[in-house]
Amino acid sequence: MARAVNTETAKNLSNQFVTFQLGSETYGIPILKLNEIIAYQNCTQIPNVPKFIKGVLNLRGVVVPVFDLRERFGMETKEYDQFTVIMVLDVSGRTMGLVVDAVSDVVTLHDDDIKPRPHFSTGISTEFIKGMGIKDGSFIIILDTDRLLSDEELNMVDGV
Amino acid sequence: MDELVKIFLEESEDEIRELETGLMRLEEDSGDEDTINRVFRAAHTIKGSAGLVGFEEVSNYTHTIESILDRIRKKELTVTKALVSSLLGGVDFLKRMISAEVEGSPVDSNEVEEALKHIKRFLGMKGVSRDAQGKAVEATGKTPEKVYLITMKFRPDILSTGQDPLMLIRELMDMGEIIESRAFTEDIPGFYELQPTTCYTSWEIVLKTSRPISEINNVFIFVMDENEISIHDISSQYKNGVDLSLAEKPIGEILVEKGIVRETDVIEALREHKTTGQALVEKGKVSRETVEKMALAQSESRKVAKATTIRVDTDKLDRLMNLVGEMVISVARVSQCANEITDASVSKSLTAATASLERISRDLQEQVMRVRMVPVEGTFNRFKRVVRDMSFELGKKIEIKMSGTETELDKNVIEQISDPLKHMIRNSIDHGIESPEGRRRKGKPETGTIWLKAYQREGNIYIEISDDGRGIDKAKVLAKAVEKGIAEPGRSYTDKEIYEMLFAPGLSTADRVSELSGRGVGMDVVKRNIEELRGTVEISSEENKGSTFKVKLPLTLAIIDGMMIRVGSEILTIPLAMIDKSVRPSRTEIKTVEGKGELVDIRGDYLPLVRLYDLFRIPSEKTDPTEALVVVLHGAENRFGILVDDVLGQTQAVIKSIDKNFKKIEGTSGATILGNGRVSLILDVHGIEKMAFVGSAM
Repeated sequence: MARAVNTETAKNLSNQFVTFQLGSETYGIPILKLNEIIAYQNCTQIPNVPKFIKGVLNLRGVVVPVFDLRERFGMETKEYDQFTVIMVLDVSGRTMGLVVDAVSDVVTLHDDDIKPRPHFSTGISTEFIKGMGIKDGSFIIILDTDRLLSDEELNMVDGV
Repeated sequence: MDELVKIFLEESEDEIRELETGLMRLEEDSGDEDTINRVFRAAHTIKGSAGLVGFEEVSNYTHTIESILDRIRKKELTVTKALVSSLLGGVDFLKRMISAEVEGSPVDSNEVEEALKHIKRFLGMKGVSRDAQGKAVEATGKTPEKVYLITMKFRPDILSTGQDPLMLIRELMDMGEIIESRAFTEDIPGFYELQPTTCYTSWEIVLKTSRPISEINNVFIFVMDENEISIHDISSQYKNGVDLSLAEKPIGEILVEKGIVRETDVIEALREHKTTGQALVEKGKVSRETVEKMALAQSESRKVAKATTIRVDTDKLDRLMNLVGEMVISVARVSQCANEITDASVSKSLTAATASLERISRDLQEQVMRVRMVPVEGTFNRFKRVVRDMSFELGKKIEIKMSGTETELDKNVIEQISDPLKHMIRNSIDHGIESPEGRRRKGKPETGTIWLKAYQREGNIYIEISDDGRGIDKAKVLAKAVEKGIAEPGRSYTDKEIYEMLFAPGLSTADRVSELSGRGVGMDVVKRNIEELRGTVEISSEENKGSTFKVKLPLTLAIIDGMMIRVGSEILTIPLAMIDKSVRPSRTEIKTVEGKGELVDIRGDYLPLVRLYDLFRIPSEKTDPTEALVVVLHGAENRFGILVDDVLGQTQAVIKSIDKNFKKIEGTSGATILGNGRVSLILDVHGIEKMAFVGSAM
């Protein structure tokens, strides 16, 4: 870290999370992973992929795949409305979109605000959860985006 | 990677190529000083920049190579095949050292020591005298093109000696190209003093020729002594036929030098505080056209002298391409909107404006695309090395001839075609060209020839690799194919079909698998690689005359001609080249086998029918083939039909990658963006064929 001046800013940013809604639950992802947020638009379907992959769309000349997070988590589907957005993320050099119900806020969470992920009864997939953030009494599920959109994940679902 | 190391890596790649081609040229013509200097400079540059990035061992090793080259330069060392081989080996080792350094695991120092010892033995060797070398060059007569300035001032009574200057000039014309010729006519007296038998004129001629200077001397052999004849090599001043020295000179000086005006006139003109050319024209010393011509030559010269290049990251180019592509689409949308405006007064000027915007953006797109194009020369030159090393090893004599090296191809295509081409060349060397004795027995020259030709025809680039070797033994190929179960015994095949079998996996006609061509890569891989580039390869051959591999490649990977089709709400693009036709079959033309396998009768051919919506699991509008359309495609194995809702029309599709952000989607080869901004998948016809027919006997 040669650039000492920027370290402070970088550290501040790395503590920030963008939160969004899926149903009544609040999720968070590190702000540094987020590229932009766009309104939902119809995607071009891709053959023979699981249902949660909504397809691909054109983002200024780049073809970006879009995933529905509700469907990925096996939650009940919901009609897309005017709040539905696509969060465009940069995950290990790739650009991808996540469809979520609505974006809510940007919060700062310090290391001690984040608790390790709890154990659940079987049937709940915890591998995408990095931890639980508690801020002003609200409960934020921090997602592990690298894991969520990893090569393994993309290829594992090939046969579905 | 460290930026400095990255630059070093890029630079050293170029310099090493320069070293390799230079060394091989030296092998052909050991006296070519220009090449010696260039090779020396390349080694010197690598040494310096390796030291700069801290690769001490690389720098040291290069220093030894440089010292040997220096000895060659000083004519202390004779260029022999052995020396060139050792130096080339040294260059290979250098390449290894560099990549090892970059990866962070330098080559073992004992090994470096060993390699150093190997080449260092050349440092103490004695060479031959300068004369002997000079003669060797003349004997081969293969001097590269040089430019000579020849000045001729004859004695006035030359015409009475039976010599005619004009004859001499004509003789020079036969030797090469005369780039410039000037006649000095100041000495011609007035009409009344003129002696018709006296020669008043003197000449200056710039000749470009590949003949040695001794031959030019021979032209003047009878007039050399009594007349003022001088011949100078001015090759270094010329580049691409343009006199580089003009760039730095004022126009007045050029005019004087070319004998157009007198120096005194120029000095006089300079006093007038105008541009020299203008002043001279006004004084009637020279015509305006001449000055303009000279000024043009000068600016041309400046251009060539300054022609430099910059390195650009291909990623940046790709981004630029993307943006331009997007712009073309947006402009199309704007003009669509313009067409919808009903107000006549506005719409007319708006349509005109958008039309010109559209044209400009298309031009821009084409220009950006061209930036990615590079000549095949670099790749071809690398093959020289392959031919040299391999023929040496196999004890064959092979000459490589190239044409069309200036032909340009997309950089990505060149990178990906290099290995398949190399493999085909290896094949030609190993299996095509016979041994010198074998060739002699057949009455062929001992030295075999491999031709590499590149040319553009219509929207495609062709690369041909031919040899004058033994040709393909069809009976042998067929026997082998039958043995491997690729061909049916007893059936007769056309020549083309037999050659096609060479590309089948697992077929190798060589009796022994040689170390060189049999590196586990078969011709099937070559064919597949070429097809991945959307190209084709064809073989033609004549026994004992030789074989030709003809590779056809698209100009660019970035754009294809496509046909848009619709299935349900999705619009898909099919590469036009893969489409045979599209038909709407009648009820009687649809047949089913075992109640499920569908066939469609296309003029007597029963082709399997694939329901694209089924295969891709996407909703479709029409499921009855007699209402929908059948598009007949050329598969790798057979033709087959796909069922689609509608055929929309042709398009020029800019190909985008899907797997860059996602993964490879089976049955597609990428995506393109439609005029309305939506993504359209491009169908991979061979992939669809595999998806639909895998497992079934087709």
